[in-house]
Amino acid sequence: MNEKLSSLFDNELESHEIDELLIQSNRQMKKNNWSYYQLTRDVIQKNHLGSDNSTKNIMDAIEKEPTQLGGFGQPKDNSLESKSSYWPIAASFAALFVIGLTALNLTEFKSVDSVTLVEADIPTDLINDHYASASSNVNFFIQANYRK
Amino acid sequence: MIHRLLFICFLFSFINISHSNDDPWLIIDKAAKATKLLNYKGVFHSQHNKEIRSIEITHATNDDQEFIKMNVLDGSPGEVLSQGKTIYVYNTIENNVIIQKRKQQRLFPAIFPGNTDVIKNFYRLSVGKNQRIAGRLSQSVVLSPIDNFRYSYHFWLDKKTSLPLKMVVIDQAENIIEQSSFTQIKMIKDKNLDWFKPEVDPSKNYIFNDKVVGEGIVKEPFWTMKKLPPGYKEIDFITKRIPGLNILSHQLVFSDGLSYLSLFIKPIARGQKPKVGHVNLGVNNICARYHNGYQIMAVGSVPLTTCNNFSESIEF
Repeated sequence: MNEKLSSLFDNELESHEIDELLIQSNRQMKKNNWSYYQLTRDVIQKNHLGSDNSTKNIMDAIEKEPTQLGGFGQPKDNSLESKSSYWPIAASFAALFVIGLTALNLTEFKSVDSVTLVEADIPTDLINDHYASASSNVNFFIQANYRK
Repeated sequence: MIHRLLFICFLFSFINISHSNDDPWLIIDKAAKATKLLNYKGVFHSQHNKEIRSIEITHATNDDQEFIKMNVLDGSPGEVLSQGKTIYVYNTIENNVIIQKRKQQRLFPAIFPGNTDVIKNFYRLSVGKNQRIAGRLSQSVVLSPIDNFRYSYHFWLDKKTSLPLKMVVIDQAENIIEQSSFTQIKMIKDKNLDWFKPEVDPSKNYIFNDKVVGEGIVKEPFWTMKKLPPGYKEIDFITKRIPGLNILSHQLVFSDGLSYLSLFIKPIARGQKPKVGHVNLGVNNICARYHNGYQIMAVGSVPLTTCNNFSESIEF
């Protein structure tokens, strides 16, 4: 039955076969399968436009997911042995990544060039905040933290 | 008769002896109490850096609660109303009067800390000559620092009431940092508090800036302070969210009872270059340091040594 449905969406059925299939599928309540095959067909033929809200729905679903603090659990991988040949390459990439990241960080760390403090660098807010907290009759009347 | 005269002479000599045996710091204790308990009204000039202002002050204590009103008499109008621990500052900016609530502070003439013991270990007291200030006889008293972490404080205390009539702060090079001096003062006996209200100008817009300056987001400190200059203690801690940026800025206020210094801890935004070194801005020293992504700045009318010491003392 499923094979016939698949053939239908691939335009591989004759007219009489289509009629027979439609009658059978209505009887067997295959509505859900219909929609799956329709969706598959549309995607394969690049005709699927998707829902307007699909992105929002996906983001909402992700939002509801619990935070994976411990990382995602990994299913037992039986093909570990077969992948063992990739380990040297992966290790090389990892090493390069670590070296690169370290170098990048070091560069960034070194690039924190400090400059000598000059009068123009002193924000008025800084002085006003100090005056608002320190005793001085003259400066007590300044407007600390007020912005129009 | 001779016996009576001898008795009076004996009595006077006893009073003199007992006076000379008094703790000299009692004169400061009396001055501190006078600023809280006396009812008076006067005008004083206050100078800080190059700014000079004339301020009218009315002070009264009613049912153990202090009421203070201060008006700036020259320049842009400003007013302070203080009742107990609540202080409101009214500042006129163009057509607006900004009302701001502040934390209680020690302003002239009430500059002494509640517990004068905190200054006894770091200042030497010496008594000077009598002088007339604002038409009243006063006793000059000097508090000289025992180290290089603070300035000298000169006071002229009213002989009759002990109220400070004049104060001058002098640095090590004898430059005047700050001074306040009464030009006229009178004691008031009327307990009426009708004067304790703001002077409302109906032509202005009154804007209540209800955020208490100094009250912010309370955060646990992530820093520690090491080797602070002796006598300085943290008296306030203010955390604020920087407008437009999701980062917090911290201000720690330190005092030795007379001097004040603020230490600012602010994360450096991406692309900004941290500042290091120090500048002298009028009577304020400002010392900057970069540490672990944060800009540290110490600001205060304190010696450069103190300023540097504070900016270097923070660790995290």
